[in-house]
Amino acid sequence: MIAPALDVKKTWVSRELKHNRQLFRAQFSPDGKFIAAGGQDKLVHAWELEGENKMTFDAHKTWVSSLTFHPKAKCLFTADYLGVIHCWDYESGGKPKWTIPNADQDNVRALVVTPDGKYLLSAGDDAIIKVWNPANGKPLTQLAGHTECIFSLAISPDGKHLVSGDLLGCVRQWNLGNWKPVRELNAKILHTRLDNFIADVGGARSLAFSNDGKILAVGGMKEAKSNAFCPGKPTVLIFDWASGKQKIELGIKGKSDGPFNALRFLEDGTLIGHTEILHTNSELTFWKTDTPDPLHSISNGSAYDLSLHPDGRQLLVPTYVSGGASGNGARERHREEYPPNKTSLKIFSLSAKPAEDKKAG
Amino acid sequence: MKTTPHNHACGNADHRISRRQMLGTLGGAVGFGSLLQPAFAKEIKKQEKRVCLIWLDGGMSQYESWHPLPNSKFAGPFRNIKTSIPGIHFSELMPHTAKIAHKISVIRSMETKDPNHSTGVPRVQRGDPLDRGVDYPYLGSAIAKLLGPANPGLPPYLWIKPGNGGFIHREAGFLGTRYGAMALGDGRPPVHIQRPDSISAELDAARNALRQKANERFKAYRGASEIDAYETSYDMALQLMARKDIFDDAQLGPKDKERYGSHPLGRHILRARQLLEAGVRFVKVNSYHWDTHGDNFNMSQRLVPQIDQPFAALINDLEDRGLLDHTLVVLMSEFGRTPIINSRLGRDHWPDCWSIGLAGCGIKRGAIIGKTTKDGAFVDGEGYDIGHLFHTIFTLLGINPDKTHYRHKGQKLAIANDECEPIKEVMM
Amino acid sequence: MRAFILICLLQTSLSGWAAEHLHQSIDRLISAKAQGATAPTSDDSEFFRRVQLDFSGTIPKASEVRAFLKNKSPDKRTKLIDQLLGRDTFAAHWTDRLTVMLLERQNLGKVTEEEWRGYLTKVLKGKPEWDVMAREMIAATGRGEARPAMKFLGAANHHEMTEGIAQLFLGMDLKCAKCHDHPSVDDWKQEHYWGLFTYLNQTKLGTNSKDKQTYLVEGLATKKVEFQSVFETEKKNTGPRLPGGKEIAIPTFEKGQEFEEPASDGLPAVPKFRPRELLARNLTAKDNTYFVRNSVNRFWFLMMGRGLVHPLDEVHGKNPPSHPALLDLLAKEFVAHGFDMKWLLREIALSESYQRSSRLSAKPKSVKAASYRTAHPKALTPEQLLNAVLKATGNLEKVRAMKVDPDAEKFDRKGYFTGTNLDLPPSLDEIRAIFVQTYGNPPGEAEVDFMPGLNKSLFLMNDKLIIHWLKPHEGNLIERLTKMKTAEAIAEELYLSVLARFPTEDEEATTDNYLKRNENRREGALGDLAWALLNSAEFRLNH
Repeated sequence: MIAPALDVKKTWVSRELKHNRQLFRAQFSPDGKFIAAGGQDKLVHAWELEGENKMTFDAHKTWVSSLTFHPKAKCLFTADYLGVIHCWDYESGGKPKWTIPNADQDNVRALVVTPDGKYLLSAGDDAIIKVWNPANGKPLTQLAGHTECIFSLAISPDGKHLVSGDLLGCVRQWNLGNWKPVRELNAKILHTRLDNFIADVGGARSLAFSNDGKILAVGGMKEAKSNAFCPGKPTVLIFDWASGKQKIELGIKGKSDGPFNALRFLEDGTLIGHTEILHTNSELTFWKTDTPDPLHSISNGSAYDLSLHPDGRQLLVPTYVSGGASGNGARERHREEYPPNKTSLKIFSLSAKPAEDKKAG
Repeated sequence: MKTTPHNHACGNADHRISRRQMLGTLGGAVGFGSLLQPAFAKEIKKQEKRVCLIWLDGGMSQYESWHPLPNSKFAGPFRNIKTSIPGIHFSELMPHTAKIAHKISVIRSMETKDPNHSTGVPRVQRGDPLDRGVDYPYLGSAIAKLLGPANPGLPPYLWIKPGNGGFIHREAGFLGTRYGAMALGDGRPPVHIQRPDSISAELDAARNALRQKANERFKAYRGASEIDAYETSYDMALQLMARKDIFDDAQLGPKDKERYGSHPLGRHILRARQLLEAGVRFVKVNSYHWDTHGDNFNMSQRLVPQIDQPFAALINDLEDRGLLDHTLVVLMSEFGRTPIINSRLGRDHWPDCWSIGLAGCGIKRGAIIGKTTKDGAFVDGEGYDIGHLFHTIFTLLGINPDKTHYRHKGQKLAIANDECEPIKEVMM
Repeated sequence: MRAFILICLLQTSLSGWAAEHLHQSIDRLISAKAQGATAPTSDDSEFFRRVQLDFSGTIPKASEVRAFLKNKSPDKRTKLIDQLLGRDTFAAHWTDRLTVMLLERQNLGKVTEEEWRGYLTKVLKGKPEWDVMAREMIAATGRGEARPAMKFLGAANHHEMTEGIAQLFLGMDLKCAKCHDHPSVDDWKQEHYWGLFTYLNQTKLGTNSKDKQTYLVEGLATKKVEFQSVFETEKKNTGPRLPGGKEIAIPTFEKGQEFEEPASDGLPAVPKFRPRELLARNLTAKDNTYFVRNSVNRFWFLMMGRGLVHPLDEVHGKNPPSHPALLDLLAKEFVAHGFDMKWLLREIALSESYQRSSRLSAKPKSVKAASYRTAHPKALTPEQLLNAVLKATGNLEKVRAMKVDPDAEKFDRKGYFTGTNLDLPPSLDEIRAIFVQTYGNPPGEAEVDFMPGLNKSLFLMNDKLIIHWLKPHEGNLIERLTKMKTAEAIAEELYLSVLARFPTEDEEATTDNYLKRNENRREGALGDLAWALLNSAEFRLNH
């Protein structure tokens, strides 16, 4: 079957998988047959997209913070806020294949596997990038250099470099293999600490390379207004990879006020990001990276992850859904029923809706 | 220095000077006239009760601090850690406080009424009294009125806050401006306690002698109390100027700064310790921006340690100095935060069931009280309102809230909510 | 004194007290309740300083004191009082006093402070009639010449207007009576609060679409207001009603007949029935004893430092006046003289009671302020204090002449108090704001009694401005003193300038001693001597 033409302006929700708790991370498997997701209920969930078979993996003792698939082996790596990484055989289920108990002092915020499948990399609160053998979870090396917690990791498409972004908006480049630091890119605008703040706000929350490797996008927000609600201006910085110079700053047109926690490039060079709500709104945003204003945007519940299906036409967004009981002081109103908030794993189709569906709809 | 263990069973930690000390002083005093008197007076002064209110404005999350409940469906991602009390756990964000849990009490069943900051802050700091159509004083002003200064040379109510300082009258409510707070912006004293560089101490004494002489002359044949009151305000000013050391960082060791932390809250609580030691009756320390509606977990991870470390250091230091039995430390906000984690990974305002920390001055050691429903969302049984807390505070300070009243324009006003009573569970 | 006795004799021989001037009646009624020796009449310098502060808002210059003391005319006090009442400085100072009383240092509503002050000053330069002024403030619409009077009603918050009018024009602090009858004052009922409220609850701000100005407009009153005590279950209601007055029926009109003028220019139609206008008229009527007694009590307080009823907003049966007959008489005479403010102030100033010394001739055990046996010391208001400091130190002209660079950054006043701003304030306005912030009460709080405070003392002791003003600058006090040779001359100039009186021998000796002990730092020593007087109770009080 020929893939339908990309037409992001006609993006629509083709499928939703509901879950009764909030999930932060969700990814398609490399073969596109599974979705794995994790979040507040401490479980790892895997849906088989054909037949809707669902599995649950139970080993984390706290919220699941990151998750990534091995590009070749049938392995899923999941990490949590207590620094634990588990490796799962997501097709057969059962217990973890292996476990790293202390991949970070605290939260593992980012996990990636190199395209050749040779290395698993993790990073988080202790500001040290760790390199693991994905086959057995054995440590290979550690990369020190960041001074604050690391939010994001990405591998260049040529498989030669790793980039890592931290709370202070420092983006570091490392050689894969000999693990030498190469250079620093300046994304400090994504960090805010005003005089009256009592915490740093923001960070280089997300990183993505264009498919041709010429552009690195760094997502987050600038100009945070407080460290309580933490709202700011969602922002993506576009760097020319060859020179390391910032080319352009991408913003939004809507009222969203949280950072871009996830970014993905499409094959035609379109960049997609999703913001988090911090006060008013959140959105799914599309740009051409030579224009500051978005090409298109869709208001959507808060999200922290994006995954592109191997077909390049479907985008998975673990979207926040209200459980109906949020808000200040409840008194008796919620004493009987006080449910937590939920998630809809939305699959957006990035091309026009087929005609028959339109009629039916 | 280690303090002698106290007999908690006596039910009264009323700060007695030990029998041995008393005998020693009195015995030694025979034949020495008043020579030993200062030592005795110093001991009395040390035992004057004082209060430190640490106010985390906006509302600290109980789940990320005093009451983690990791198995609750509302739990955050952080670890539970053991405390120095077997079976009691705090959030991993409070490692220092966990070690001193046996020295403090925690109430996990606060159930207050106001879910808004703008009304909640004054309501809580005024003790939420029944409406009598007057503006009640905030706690610090109330104590300033009811107990006066602990050290007559120092103002009874100092308020350490970020930003600007000044004289904050509004907290005094109907008591009148003189019971307001002297606010120390970023812990710094008001600029006017600095004698101008051009004036030496000798000169200052000389010109003040001239001033006093002028007042004496003016006072002759005049009975007006205004003149005495004016003279008193100068005495206080001079005494405060003479005690600039209590605002002086140089008096603190580098270890102190390390133990309290270099962030504002650490520096400010350390300054509070200095002031309490000097005999300031009531010190309030404010920290702002705890209203984590958005990104609560990243923020709590960075905020809670900022109170954990200096709070524990303060309790330890007060104990080491023999002051904890006379100093009531209250750590609180205007409310807690919602069990539900909202769309912003934040927690909203939750007066329905939240936690506060208390220590010293007759507060039980290691009483972690309050039952909640399984997930920690609601109090199981009767909760404690802010009026109960005020009754507790007044009672511990030796003020009987049932027998003590304010008088305002002919109106007899209860000092604490008439419908509440002290929280016996946390009192020795 | 002789003149006074003569008049008394003259009058007793006349039929009753009919021909007695009010100031004489004041003295008669005060003496009748003195219960002890009264202080002698103030000496000329004491009187001169007092009346200058009260009518001109500042202390006199040394040369003025000298001239007044030299003047041997027997009626020089009366003449001075009349002169001062006619000067622009009276209008300026009483603009300050009335503004602080009426607005309590709040910048209310859309009328600027400048416009408001302009309005008061203009009235005070002429023959101010207090009932007219009160009426203009309560009935203010924003139209016509009295437009600035609308500042008093601020943003037209119904509760704030109710409480403000009750407190300032009726002497009733009715805040507690909003939710229930006053718990301890039997006279004050919840219906008093709501009766007043119902006069005001149709008032709101409106903007004229043409001139873009804000006006106070009234909506259509159609029904009574319902209220309920928090202690009772029964609901009550009331129409517009003054305390002690009768409830006013709210008229009903046929549909279409309710309005006098149609809506126009974005402002609503003007109803025929306008309760606030009625309130202005009825409240300020001469038979409303609440209003009249409150008025005279407040003016008495402003002159004497203590109300006949004190606190001022506690006029009720449980807080009776110290001199009931006097209060009644003041009220009656004030009405008889058409609420003429200057007349009333003049009569008070002419009284022996006002002109008494603050010093008894023998050491008193204690003198009750309410007896008026001595002059009651009044704190200088923040404005008086600033004027006095500038005048005493001889820096007034310099400060007045300061020009603000329009392009300069706004002065960081907060930083001035926290020590981050080391600059001196650039203008008299800024200096005044600093004094008001230090010596005034926070906005919304009345300034009545003397409230010494740590911060206030510290300011006068150590503030940069004070230190600066006590260094020799061209023509100022310290510079003048440096040129004087003898301790005697120095003491005289110093005491006349700062305390508006000659020094005693003892004080001369103190001055001499201090200068001798500090021979090598004469300028500094002169500054110290002036500093000590500036910081003395005698300077801080209007005694």
